[in-house]
Amino acid sequence: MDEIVDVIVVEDDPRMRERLEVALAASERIRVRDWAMTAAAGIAALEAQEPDVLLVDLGLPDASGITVIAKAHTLYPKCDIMVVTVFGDQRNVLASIEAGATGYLLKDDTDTDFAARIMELRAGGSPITPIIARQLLQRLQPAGAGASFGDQEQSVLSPREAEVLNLLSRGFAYQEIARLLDVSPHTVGTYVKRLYEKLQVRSRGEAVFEAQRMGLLS
Amino acid sequence: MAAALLPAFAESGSPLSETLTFAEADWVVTPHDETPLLTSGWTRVPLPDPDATERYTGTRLGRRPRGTDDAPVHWYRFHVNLTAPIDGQLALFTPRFSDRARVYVNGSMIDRTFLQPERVEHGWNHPVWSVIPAIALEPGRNEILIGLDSPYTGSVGLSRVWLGPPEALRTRYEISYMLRVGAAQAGTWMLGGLAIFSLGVWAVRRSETLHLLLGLGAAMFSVRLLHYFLIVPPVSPAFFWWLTVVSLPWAMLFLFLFAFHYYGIQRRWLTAVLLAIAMAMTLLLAPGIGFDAYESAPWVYLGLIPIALFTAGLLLQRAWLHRGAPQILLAVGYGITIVASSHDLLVMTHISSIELPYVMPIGAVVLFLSFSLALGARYVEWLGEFEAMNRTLEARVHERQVALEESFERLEAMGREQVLADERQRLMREIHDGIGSNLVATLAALQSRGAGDDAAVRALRGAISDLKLTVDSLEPVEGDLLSLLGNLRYRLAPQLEYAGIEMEWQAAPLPQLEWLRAPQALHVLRIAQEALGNVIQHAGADRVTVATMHHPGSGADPGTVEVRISDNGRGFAAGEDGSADGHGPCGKGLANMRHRAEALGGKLRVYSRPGAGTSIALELPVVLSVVQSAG
Repeated sequence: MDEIVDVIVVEDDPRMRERLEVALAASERIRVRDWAMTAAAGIAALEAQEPDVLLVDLGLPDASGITVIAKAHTLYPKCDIMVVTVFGDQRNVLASIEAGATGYLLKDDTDTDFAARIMELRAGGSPITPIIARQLLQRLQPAGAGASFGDQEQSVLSPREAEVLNLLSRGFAYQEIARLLDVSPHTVGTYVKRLYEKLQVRSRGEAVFEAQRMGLLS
Repeated sequence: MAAALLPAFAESGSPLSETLTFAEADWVVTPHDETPLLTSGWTRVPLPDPDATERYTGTRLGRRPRGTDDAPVHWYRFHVNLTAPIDGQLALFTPRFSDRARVYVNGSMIDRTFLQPERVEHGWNHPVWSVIPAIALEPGRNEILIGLDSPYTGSVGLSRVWLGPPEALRTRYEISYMLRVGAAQAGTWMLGGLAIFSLGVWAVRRSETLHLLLGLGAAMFSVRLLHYFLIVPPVSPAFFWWLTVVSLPWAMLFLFLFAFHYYGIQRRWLTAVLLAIAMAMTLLLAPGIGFDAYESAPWVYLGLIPIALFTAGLLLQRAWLHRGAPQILLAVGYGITIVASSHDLLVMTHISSIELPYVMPIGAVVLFLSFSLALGARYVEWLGEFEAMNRTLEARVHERQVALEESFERLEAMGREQVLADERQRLMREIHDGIGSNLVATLAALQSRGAGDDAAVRALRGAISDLKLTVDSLEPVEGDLLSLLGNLRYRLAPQLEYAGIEMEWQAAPLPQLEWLRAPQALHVLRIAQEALGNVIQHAGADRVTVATMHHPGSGADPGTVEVRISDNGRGFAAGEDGSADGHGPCGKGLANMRHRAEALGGKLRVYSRPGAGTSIALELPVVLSVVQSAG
């Protein structure tokens, strides 16, 4: 557990950057390798070296942070990507997850322990809010999957994953879920991380499907 | 044999009370048209006598044509004995003779079948009806002579002869006339009309080949039927007989093509070959070119037998296959024609009695009637099919229209949703990058200056958390109250932890609340936030329980859902109106929560006793019976 985590930060807001600097400097196990203010600079930094964790703000001046996430994900599939967001609203978070992110940092001050969040992500994945869990459940396990839709819309979730996601969407915390399912909280975290990955796989398939649909429509 | 002599009766108007049938006659030939005064040379011949020319010259038709003043005259003599007094007239009837006739009684001509002796007038298909006036008759033996010549055709023949009271023979004559002459006349006009109609249809609709073929066939038969009743050949006898003979192969050819076409069979080479044969025949028989049409007629007709049988075979086979009314009509019509023409061929070749009428005129009419009916029946079938097709088409058009409307509505709805989603995204971005970022940055700045818990920091925190509620309320949760509450729990987790309050989450599954849209969601979130905020700030509790439950209604009533937030804090004494005492802002807060609950069509109940904690129960309907404005 004494590994050093290399981090690249892509953040254009100087005040947020300042806060992150303060927070991350306090941790001995986190080493910030590069700071970027724009998407272009972020991608250049990524091409120069492989980080363990990438922190990205979505509202960059030259492009959406999603492009940086996608680039990082193709370059380094093992790199953990965190989105820096004010509210963790599902639209932004889901888009980030689909592009390759596995967690997010809230900008607000209710939880200033950014370093702890990063280590949490390394361990298993960001906690997932009930609304996002609900969205994941809908996307990964369409209504009636396995029963009436047959092979085409088969659920990509294992029964256990579906259970975890269902409990998450109903507002239960990791510890509670672990207790209910009689597993360790860490296991719940692994499930969640796997869910993130499945959404990415699925979103790529959906992109193809959507493209076909648009082609048929036009 | 001379006729039997029968006594005349006074009451009878005729010298004969019964009809006499002559099945024998005395026969003699004079080289020119002169009354045979000689009494020798008579030969007794049986009647009908179809081949007088052959008996006289040894050939079927003799030397021909002879010309109107050159043809030998065949005389047939009958005797009849009458008793006196003669006070009425007698009728002479014979159904068939060839080709011109004169009738003499006791040496005086009383009738002849031709008007002008110097032109060809055909009588071979006309029955003879001659009335012998009383003045020409005498008591005792009377001599009746029938003189026949045939200037153009050369064929001379006589059927049996009937003699009797006119009223007794009239019906027989009329029937005979109708069958031989009337039917042919009617047939010519009917087929002519059909030809004009069919060709007219074809003229307007050139793709209707069946009408063309039927029209041409009918026209040919119409021409063909002329020779059964026309006495004076138009233009010239040679032209007339050419027209008569060649019209039949053409008619048969058109019928053959009609049958082929009707069943959709196309044989271009066969059509071409048959057309060529018909054309060659037509040219070979043309007057002044090749063979004489009248003499060649039997060979032409025999040559038509294969094509007629082939056509009949095809029609029969198809009728057997399909068994529909049109197919059977075609086969039956053509079959009748085959029978009729066979009959006529036998009569023509004198194998059958020449007294039998030619029935081809009737056969042709039946044939074309059934062909027209078949065509009509098919049109009726087609009309039915067209109507059915139209109905299907209309139904399909309607279906498509409905589908189009639906997809249009869906597109419109999608468009509306897209606009809404875009607008929401824009607002979100605004909240994020603008208000949210600024609030967060300001708060961070204040805190870094060491302002721990002053009013500005509290206000900023309040604003940020309210903004978060707004953001959450805008998330599409499709009526999932639990996700919404769960998200609030997630948001408040750090604060609860900071305050040292343990959260017990007893979230039982809830039904979907259709009415739970953004404005309603915000109300619910504010109620819950207020309740939890009170617990954190005022209750002095170390445990809070959030429980959800579904109260199913009875029958059709979908029931209610309840959210209960209870703490183990110090509690308070609740007033009747729900206002609390002793908790300052809490009282006003409860009133607000109650208003919000009512705006949602629900109820808020507060249970609290000093020292026993507080429990707030929010009860909401599963289905909103009346759409209530909760904004």
